Amino acid sequence: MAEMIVEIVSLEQAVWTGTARMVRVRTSEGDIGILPGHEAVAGLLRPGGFALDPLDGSRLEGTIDSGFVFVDNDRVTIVADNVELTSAAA
Amino acid sequence: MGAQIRVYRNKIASTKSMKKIFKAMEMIATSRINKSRQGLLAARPYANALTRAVSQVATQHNVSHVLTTRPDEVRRAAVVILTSDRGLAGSYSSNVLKEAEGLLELLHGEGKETKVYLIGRKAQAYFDFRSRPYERNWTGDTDRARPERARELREVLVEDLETSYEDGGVDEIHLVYTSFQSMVVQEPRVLRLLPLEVVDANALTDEVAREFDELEEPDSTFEFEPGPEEFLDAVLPRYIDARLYASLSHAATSELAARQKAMKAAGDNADELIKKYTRLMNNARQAEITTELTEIVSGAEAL
Repeated sequence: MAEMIVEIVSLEQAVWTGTARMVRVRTSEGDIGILPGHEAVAGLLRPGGFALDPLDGSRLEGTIDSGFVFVDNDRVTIVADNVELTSAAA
Repeated sequence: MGAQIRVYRNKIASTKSMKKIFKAMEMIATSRINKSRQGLLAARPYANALTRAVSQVATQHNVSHVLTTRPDEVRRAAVVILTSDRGLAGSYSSNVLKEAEGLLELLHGEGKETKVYLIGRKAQAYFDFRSRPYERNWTGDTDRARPERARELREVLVEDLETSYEDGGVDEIHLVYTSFQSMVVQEPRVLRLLPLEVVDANALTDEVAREFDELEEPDSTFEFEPGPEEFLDAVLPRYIDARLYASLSHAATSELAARQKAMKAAGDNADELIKKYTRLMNNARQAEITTELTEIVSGAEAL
């Protein structure tokens, strides 16, 4: 199954890294859902929630105050100033 | 008891209590250094991501930004000096200050004015004692890098850069910090922080940039939302944050390593001293006993 490498990083540390099937973020232009094979995109993030589906079938959600997202070659990097995971995946 | 023995006994007691302090400080430094080193590594993904983002924009679009354009003429430069708050860290702070003096001299030699920002009480004391001016100083957390401090510093420095020379602004910003190489080697370094040199991907040459490894060749064309300029506007300050934070982490880790080393040496020296004083004390006691014996023997003979 197609998958993407996802990295959520803040200044101090990598908050979460792993593989996922889907990532949803809120950019300045609107919500975007990212699936494997997504075109290369760099976008600013608005404060709000994000969600991703890790491979194990669980769901990971969290909130971001600001930052940006970077998608390239099935590799998603979410760079956040402050990030909070609201439902940590098991 | 002879006066000499008492003197030695006092010296031994005070050396012993100092040794306890050295030992305690060494242990504190040791326990914190690992956490600090981990922090150094943990900050890398962020720095890598930003380096990728910035170089991506730079390769794909020819956008100029106030933070990346070199002024035609540098008339005033800001120098940020990272030292420690507390002493007992060997030559940590004085090495940084020496390096900073060299840089200031160089800048003055090139006919540039300087504006100095200090971090750490040691730098403040150094400048105060010599009645030399500095713009601002921060103290209180030199042995622990905090993101808020990096952001605050960046805000001040970027504002300085964006202000024109006539209004007291600067044209370039240098950073003097200590680079943590290993537990034994920490080197004072000078880094030109701003204007940033992001001409192209993989063209980052200085020390901190070289640590931002994993720079892959960008192979796809990016779609920027909202646009490349806005994206760069948001990314560059964070990029500077990452570099400042890296420098602060390096400085904090170096300070702890220097303190650990200095305290270890001090503890060992205290051991030596205690040994030496104990020998001297035994000598003195023996001499006293010998004298007493001679006195008794000669006294008995006199009878």
